[in-house]
Amino acid sequence: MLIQAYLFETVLGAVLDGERGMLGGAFAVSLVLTAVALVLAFKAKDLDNPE
Amino acid sequence: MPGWKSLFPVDLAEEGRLSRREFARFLALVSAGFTGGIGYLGLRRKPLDGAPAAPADAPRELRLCRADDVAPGNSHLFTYRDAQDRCILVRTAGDRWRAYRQTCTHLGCAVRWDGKGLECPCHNGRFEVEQGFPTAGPPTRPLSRLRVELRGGDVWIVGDLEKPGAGPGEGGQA
Repeated sequence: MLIQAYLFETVLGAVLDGERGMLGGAFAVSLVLTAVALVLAFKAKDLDNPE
Repeated sequence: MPGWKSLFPVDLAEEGRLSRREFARFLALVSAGFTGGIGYLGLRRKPLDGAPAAPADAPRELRLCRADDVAPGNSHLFTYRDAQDRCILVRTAGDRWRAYRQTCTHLGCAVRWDGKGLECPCHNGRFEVEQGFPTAGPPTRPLSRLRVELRGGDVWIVGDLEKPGAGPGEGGQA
């Protein structure tokens, strides 16, 4: 989440400065992070253990 | 046991409990939100407030005024691409011409010329006049700058300049 927040803040600053070149790469990185988070949230088995 | 407890069998301590899986789902949802936000920025064609116009926009030339109409050390307000695109022309004491969008790069208030630099009255941000860099207050990015040309005693705005430090593109400034 911290990485995502930092990434979004960086991208927003770059877009405000008129630099849109990093948007594609940032979107790809963000998409990968989201995919990992989704897999962990829905598929990880250990999350239901109380310990 | 009171009747209502059998109808609502939730222990108060258990009510506020968030399982690890629920927390992980919350994180995944927020992460998807950030991804959607970046995707939106990529798909959005119109520039954000304070950002320079997209390169696809054709440079528009605008005759502003006679050079004699603005004395050294004074400014002149105008609109450029549309009625919302408020800008400021400054003739410095050293007789150089500078033009910027009035949108402060902090929260979008209109900057104004105070005789020494450009100031944002909302949060006391200040920008130097030569290249629009922030010098005080909360702004961290320079102002969006326009290209000024003098033609036969007239002042013309002929397009956007790149942000300072972003490479060549300083030429043509009066």
